[in-house]
Amino acid sequence: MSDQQPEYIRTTIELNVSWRYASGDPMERFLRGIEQRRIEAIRCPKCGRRYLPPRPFCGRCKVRMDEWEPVQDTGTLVAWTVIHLPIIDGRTGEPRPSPYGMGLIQLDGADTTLNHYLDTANPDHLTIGARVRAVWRDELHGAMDDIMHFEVLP
Amino acid sequence: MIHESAIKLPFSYAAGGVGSRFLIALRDDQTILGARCASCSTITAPARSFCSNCNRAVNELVEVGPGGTLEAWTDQPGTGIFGLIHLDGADTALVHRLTGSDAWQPGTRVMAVFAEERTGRITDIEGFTSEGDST
Repeated sequence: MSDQQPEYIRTTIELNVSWRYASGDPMERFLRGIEQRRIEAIRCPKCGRRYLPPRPFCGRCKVRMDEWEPVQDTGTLVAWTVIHLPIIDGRTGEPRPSPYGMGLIQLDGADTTLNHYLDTANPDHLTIGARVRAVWRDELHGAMDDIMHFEVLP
Repeated sequence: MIHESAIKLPFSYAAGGVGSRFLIALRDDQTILGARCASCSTITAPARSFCSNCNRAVNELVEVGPGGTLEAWTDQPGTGIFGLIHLDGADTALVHRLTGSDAWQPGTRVMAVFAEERTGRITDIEGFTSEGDST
């Protein structure tokens, strides 16, 4: 027997898992609007709750929704965090460069919150209740990342 | 509206003691090792540290192949053709890429083709080719 330590093999592997996401009718209409820099919420015909992002059924009344209302690209920060250990960004397939901010944003005209990235250039400005505004890409292609992130209004 | 995307999942696979010896044999000797159970004599290839019949630790590694018999195969368009290969001298089959032919049948005789540059991965075997094509 050799007196050398045995060699142990460790292999690094990268799996590429591809997926297709069928958005469904309400999300399709929403994203077609985003492509035009227009944000709309879907409204329950029974209780009037305005959902953003949209969904086919009201979570409270269990009725199908098909009425839409315009929503501003400004809103209020309901919750926020700064992420230092990034998870994989489903839109790109790679970890987002960190640190980056994430927030729950209630846009003006909606009753629910939207989960999106936050500009962390001035992390001191991130407070619950802060007023925020969407920062749009120059070229829109009908996807959630047409809004790059939200920035805190001065 | 359909969105297409992909998620990259990086991970690290620790081959363990017996698995490492299997991979090192591919890399350094261009040989394929199976593990022979001292209790039931089953030879498992690729080599693994336990006999799946007896649930006993296996330490005796024996050379199998490089020839074998194709048990089954499948064509994955865009990815390649994969076969379940019963290596000569082994009692189990391994999955690997099939190359160089398009007339695969259960029972086809196949032969391992080793890669020129080997790094201690299962892909140190480039694939299996039909025995008639390997000369």
